[in-house]
Amino acid sequence: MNDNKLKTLSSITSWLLFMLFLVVLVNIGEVPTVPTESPERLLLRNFHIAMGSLLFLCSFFRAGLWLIHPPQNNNSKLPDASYAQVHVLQFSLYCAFIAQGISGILNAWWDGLIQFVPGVDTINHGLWVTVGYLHSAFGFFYINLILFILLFRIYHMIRYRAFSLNVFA
Amino acid sequence: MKKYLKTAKKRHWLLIIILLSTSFYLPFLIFGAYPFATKINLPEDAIKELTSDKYLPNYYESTSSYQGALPELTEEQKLLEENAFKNWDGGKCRFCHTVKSDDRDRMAPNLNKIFGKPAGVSKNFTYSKALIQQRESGLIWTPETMDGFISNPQGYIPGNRMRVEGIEDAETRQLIINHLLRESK
Repeated sequence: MNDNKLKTLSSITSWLLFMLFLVVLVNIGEVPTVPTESPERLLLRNFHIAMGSLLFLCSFFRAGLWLIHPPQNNNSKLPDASYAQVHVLQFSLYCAFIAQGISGILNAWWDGLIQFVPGVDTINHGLWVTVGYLHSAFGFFYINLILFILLFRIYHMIRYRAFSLNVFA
Repeated sequence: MKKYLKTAKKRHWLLIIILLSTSFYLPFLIFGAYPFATKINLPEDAIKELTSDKYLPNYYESTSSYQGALPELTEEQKLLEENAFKNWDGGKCRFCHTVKSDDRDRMAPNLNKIFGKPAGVSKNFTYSKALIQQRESGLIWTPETMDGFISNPQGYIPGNRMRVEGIEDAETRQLIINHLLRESK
């Protein structure tokens, strides 16, 4: 695959990731407002698992593309070191989504929500606590990363006149 | 890729490490969550010992004064009690606790039949030092101690990890306690 095709594919995946992230973000905000045992909660939780899994797969794919074809600095006003700073954050963001996906899948598995084998009892409180903590920690991690990417973008706009607010590279 | 990684300096990665470390601390700081469940549980005998010298009524028998004092409720009033437990604005109890007997533990212990139990004895939870000290000094959960605790958790047991503000409204506290009593019957 030539560079142009890789660039297009990377760009499409990034936009897809951005949209999936927005959907999951709205879902995260919605879930706690709904009573635990209501059918609506079950629906929202299943939707969260489905969208989260898609986000995880897309992030995996995007990180793979990144390794083959890393984003280039197209803005002549932005020094390479500053560009590298934002891109390290962006690459970490994809890694955070992957980690979030893995902990989410484990969390759902140990919560007994994913039961591919009928009758299997996967509930284990100790493991649920640990992966739940990890899921929460990686959640905070990507929120921090997004905040810092935006902060750096704004700083670059002011200092180098390099206008871009892209969070997802 | 190599050129790109060379351009990225140590300080760039240092920021990632700082952000990651901070993120790992935040669930503990904000929610009082703990990354693992301890396996060091208090033996049943030791739990019994904690209550052996105390006269505690049976809070759950229909003949007890506590159950007797519970008002007969209309569906609407029942919803009000449930709502106090589930949706109180300052920190919804249901985020961390369950109350029905067949509910599983969540981030914090199930509260079914909590009254009459010593503090900090649920299995597989990593309790704060503050709560363990309270257990050792003989704190038993009763409607009265629960009322004191939820009115100001940090004031009642300083250093515990229930990170919610106190419920100032006595009526809301009573609704929550009634809900716990009713669901534990």
